[in-house]
Amino acid sequence: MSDLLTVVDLSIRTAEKELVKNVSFSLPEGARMGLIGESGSGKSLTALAATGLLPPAITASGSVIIGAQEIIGTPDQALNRMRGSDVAVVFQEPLTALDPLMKIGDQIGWPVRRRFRREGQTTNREAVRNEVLSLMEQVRLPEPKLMLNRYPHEISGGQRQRVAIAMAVACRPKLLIADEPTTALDVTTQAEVLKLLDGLVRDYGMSLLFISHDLPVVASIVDDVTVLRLGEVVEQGTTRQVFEAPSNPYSQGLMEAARTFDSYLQDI
Amino acid sequence: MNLLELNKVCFSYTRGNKVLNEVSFSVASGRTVGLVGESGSGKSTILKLLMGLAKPSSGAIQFEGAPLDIGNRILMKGYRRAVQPVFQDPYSSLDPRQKVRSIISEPLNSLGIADQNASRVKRALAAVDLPEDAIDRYPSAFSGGQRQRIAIARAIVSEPRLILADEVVSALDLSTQVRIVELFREIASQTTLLFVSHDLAVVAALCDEIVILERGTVVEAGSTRSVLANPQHTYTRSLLDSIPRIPEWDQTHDNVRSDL
Repeated sequence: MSDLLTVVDLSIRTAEKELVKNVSFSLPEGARMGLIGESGSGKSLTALAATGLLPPAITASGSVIIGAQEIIGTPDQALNRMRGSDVAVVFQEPLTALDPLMKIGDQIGWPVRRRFRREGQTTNREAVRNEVLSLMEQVRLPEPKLMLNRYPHEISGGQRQRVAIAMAVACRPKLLIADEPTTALDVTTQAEVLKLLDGLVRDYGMSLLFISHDLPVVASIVDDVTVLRLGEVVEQGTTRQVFEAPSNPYSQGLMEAARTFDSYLQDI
Repeated sequence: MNLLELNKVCFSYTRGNKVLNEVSFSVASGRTVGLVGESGSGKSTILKLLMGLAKPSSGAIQFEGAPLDIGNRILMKGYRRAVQPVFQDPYSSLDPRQKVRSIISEPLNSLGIADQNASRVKRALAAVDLPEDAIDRYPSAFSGGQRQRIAIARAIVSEPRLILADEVVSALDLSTQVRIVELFREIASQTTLLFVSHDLAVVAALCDEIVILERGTVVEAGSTRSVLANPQHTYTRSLLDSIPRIPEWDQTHDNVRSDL
């Protein structure tokens, strides 16, 4: 299998400080990788760099290749063509990721129309609406027809994240980047949204880069993990290797903390 | 005797929309009680009532046998002396312009506890395992976990009868959470603690008793062990089932995702 995402010696810095140092990893087509780390580990910056979304004051060097396109140093205009078709992102906080002034149906309609144009399909209202409704059903939003006319503030956090996922999937990306997609959600909602993501990634054959600080969540959804600490890779391997027999002292500490929490419940 | 008792407490922010619906539970002196619920369950509203920032629409809250009455200033002054909160986000709960010394001694000053001010602050700092020289620094010099320790020192400095902890580990990294939970274990052994959290694992680690809230109603309550080992209510069960666990890998099949 060829690699869909290749990150080589990625470094990210502000004027004063190096935030990410020589990070390298690759993600084959159809694979799932987790980026694990605590706050300040550089996991979200890495995701932003991979989509060319870093703020102007932060510069990246090294190489990020998605498909055949080099991301680092490529102007936004050129990147816009690959956003959606090659890569889509689901962010942590669905309330800030959605436009508060736009109805749900219109928000999901945007990427749908874009894909239809890309694929040379008609973009008439009827066709777009039908696709939006079908996406809403796929992400299990209740009463899709009513939901079309709702605004983000009128629906729950879990429903908003479903909308964000529908928008990402609407693009039919080859790579889905999910940056702490369930961290802002209640635990019962988290379980549902994880199950949903898992199914969609499988059904559409997407590759998944899943970023989270929550180890059990990561373990439940990816095959390989990369552990970051203060901007550097400290360990890489299959999920099983890293969770069962971490070799780096820092990952050992992380796993131990996660297992401590697990044991709190097991001891009951 | 029960230190704190809620009896059929109801509360509405807007008319007709009950956020709390006949909530009753009690906290016995010296015990640690976990109040668990998801967003919208009413946990924060209960804390608001317990901090005397609002009063129940109906029902009563009793502290040491006396009903809480926001209008009674003398009573409330005594109550505030006896009850101290610790909040979720240590980045916004500490005044960035004050040194740790004045942050921790703030309850002593505002409650008029003048004697042995300096030695009390020193003891509180030691109790949360912060070095003595922390006292002359600003919050910005500390990490999230250390800031939460400062907030905890501020809560215990006046030796309150009851500590109200509101999601105190939720904003912290996992390894820091483990250490702060350990600290709360020590603190819980010396005082009474109402520990509000959405995280059942943390509550299981810390609390003798548990109260499960769903949309403003207590659905289940009892000893943590018996409720979590043998949950009676479907909501408690779904909360437990939803907790992400580290998968058990076995030799033959490696596909952990099948159990999602």
